[in-house]
Amino acid sequence: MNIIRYLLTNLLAAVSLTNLKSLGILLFLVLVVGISTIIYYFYIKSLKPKHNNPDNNERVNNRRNFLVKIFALTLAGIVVQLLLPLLELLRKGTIVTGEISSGQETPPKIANITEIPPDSQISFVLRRNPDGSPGQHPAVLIHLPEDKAALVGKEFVAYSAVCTHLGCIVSYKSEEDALFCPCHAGYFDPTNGKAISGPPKKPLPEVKLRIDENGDIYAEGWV
Amino acid sequence: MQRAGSEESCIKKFVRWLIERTGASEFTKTIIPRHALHPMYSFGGLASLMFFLLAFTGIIQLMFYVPAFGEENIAYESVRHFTESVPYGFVVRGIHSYAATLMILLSMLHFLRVYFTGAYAKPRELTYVIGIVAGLLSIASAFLGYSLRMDHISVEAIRIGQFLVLQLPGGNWLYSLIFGSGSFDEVIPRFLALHIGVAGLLAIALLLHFYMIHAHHISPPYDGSEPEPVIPFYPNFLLTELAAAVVTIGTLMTFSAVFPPELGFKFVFGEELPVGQPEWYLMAMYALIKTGIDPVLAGLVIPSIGLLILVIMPWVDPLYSRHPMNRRIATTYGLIFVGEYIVLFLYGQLTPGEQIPLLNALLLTIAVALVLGYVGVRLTSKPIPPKKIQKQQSGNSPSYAVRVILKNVWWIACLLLVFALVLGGFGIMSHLSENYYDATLLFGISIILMGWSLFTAKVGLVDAKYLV
Repeated sequence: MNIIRYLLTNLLAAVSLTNLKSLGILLFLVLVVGISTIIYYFYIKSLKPKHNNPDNNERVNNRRNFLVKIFALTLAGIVVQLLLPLLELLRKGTIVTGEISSGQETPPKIANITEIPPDSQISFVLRRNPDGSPGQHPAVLIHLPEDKAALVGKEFVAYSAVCTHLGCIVSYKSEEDALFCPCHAGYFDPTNGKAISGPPKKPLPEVKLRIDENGDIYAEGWV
Repeated sequence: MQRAGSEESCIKKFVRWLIERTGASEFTKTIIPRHALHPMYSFGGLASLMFFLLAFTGIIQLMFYVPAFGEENIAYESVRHFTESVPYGFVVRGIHSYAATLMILLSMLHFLRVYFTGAYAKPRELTYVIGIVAGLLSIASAFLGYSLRMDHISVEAIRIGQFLVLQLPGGNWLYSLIFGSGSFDEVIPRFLALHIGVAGLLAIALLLHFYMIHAHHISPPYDGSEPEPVIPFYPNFLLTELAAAVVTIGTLMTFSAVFPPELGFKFVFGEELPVGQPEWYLMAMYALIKTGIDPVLAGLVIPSIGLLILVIMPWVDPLYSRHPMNRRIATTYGLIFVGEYIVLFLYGQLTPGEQIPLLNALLLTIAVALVLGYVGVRLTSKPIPPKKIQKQQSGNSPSYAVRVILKNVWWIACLLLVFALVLGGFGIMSHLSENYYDATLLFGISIILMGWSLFTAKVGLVDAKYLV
C-alpha cells in the first residue's frame, strides 16, 4: 500500500510539477479512448449476423454459470464502489455560512485624501447603477498627477470602472496616464472619462464626489 | 446446479414480465445494423450518458451550494469548501465539470456525423433541428453553470452577458427580466434557477429527440447500401452500452482525482484580477467580439446566421444521395463553418487579453473560406454512385484470435475482476483512513477494469453465437 502511494504521489508530482498537465490529460485520454476503440473495433469486425456458430456456443456453454456469477459480482462491485463515496459525502459533508448583506445602502465614504497618494487609484462600489437602478456598481477613484490636476482644476476624479465596451473592469495605469481595460486593451482619459483608443466608444460615467473638511471623500452619486 | 438453474429462470421470468408490462417488448425485437455499431455512432449515446451524470452530480452539488454573494462572496466559498473539505466533493464537482465539457464536445462530434453523412434526410429533419436546439440549450446551461463558481472567469462571463443583453433592442427591459437589479446577490440565485431550468428544457428536448429516433429508426448507411442487421439490441447491445457507461464513469472518476476541477481566483470588489478567458466552446464568438465590431453583431447576429443556414440545410440540400461527396452545398458549407470555428477558436486562444485587428481577422476568415470552399468543391466534383453490393469481408477475418479469446473468456473476465477487486480493496482501505484522493483514484481504476470485466463476461454470455 505504501509503495503504491509512494509511486502515485511521485507520478502525480511529476505530472503537476513539470507543468505537463495538458500532456498528462492527453496521454490519459489517448490511452483509455485508444485502447477502448481498438478493442471495440475488433469486436464489431468479428460480429456476423445469423451466424449462430455452434462451436462458439460449445466453447462458452460449460462456463456459463461461472460467467453469470462474474457478471453479478462485477455489478455488485461497481455499485459498492459508487455508493461508498456517495454515502460518505452525504453523511459528512458540511456547508459554509457567511454574512449576507441586508441590502441597505452603505455609507458612501470612499477614503481620506491622505490615504491616496497622487497618481494612484482606489476602487469602491456604488449601490446604484448609472441609470439609477439599485445594484453593485464597481467604480474607481483617481488622484490625478499634479500636471493633469492643474489642467482640470480638481485633484480627485471618480468614474464607473465598468468598461463601456464589454463590461470588464478598468483600472488606472500611472505609467500610461490612462484608465486601462485589460480585456481588449481599451484606454480612457482619466481627466474626463472619454475613450482614447481601443474598442470602447462611449465615455465612462463620472461619479460626483464631495470632500468634507476632514478630508473624507464621499461618493454622492452619478454626474 | 439445479438450484442455480431455477433461480436464474425466476429472474428471467421477472425480467420478461417487466419488459412486457413496461411496454418495452418492441426493443427486444430491434436488431442493430452493422453501420450503427461504428464508433462514430456512439457520440450521441455518450452525450446523453453525460447528461444523466450531470443531472446526478448536479443534484448532489445543489445540497451544498449557497446561492448568495453577501459580504464576502459566499458562493465562491461554498464551491471551494465543497471541493476541498467535503469528502469526495472534488470528484462530484470534477465529474460535473468534465462531463459538461465532454457533453458539448460529444454533441458537436455527433452533429458532425449527422451533418456530413446526411442523416437529416427526409423524414428526420425535425430530429436534426431538435438536436441543434438541444446543443444550444446545453451550451446555454453550461454558460449559466460556470458562472455560478463566482471566480474571476465567471464574473467576467456574467459582465459580458449583461453587456450583450443591454445592447439588444429593448435591452433594459430584458436586462431586468434576466438579471434583476444586476447586483451579484440577485444574479446568483437567478442563474442557479436558470441553470437548472435550462437543463430541464434540455431534458425535454432530448426526450423528443429520442422519441423521434425511435419513431423513424436509425438512418440507413450514407453510401446507399442496404443496412445489414447484426446483433439484437436486447440484451447484446444494451449490455455493451452498460459496459461503456461503466468505463466512462470510472475514467471520469480517475480523471477528477488526478486533475481536480479548476477554480479561479476569488472575486472580491476592489481587487484587481487577471483577465479570464471564456470556455473553449464560446471562444470563437469571443474572438469575433475581440475584433472590435459591434458586440451584438459579433456575438449574436453572425453566429445565428451561421447556425440558421445549418438548420435549414435539410430543405436546401438536394437529396438524391446522402454521400458527403455528392452534396456540394452541404459539404462545402459544413467544411467552411467548421474551419472558421476552429480558426477563430485558435486565434482567440492564442491572443489572451489582446485585441484582434479587424483586418487580420477578416483576411484570415476570407482565406479560410476560400481554401475550404475550394476543397469542398473539389471533393464534390465527381458523383459517387450508390453502393449496391455489400463488400464481403473474407480472407483476413480475425477468427483465430476470436476463437482463442472466446475459449479463455471466463478467465480473462475473472482476471480483470480480481485485479479490480484488489484495487477496490486498497480503495476501501484508503477510504476508511479518510484518504479520499487515493480512494477515488483506486475506485476509478477499479471501475474501469470492472467495466471491461462486464464487457468480457457479456461477450462470453450473449455474443458467442454471433462471433466468427
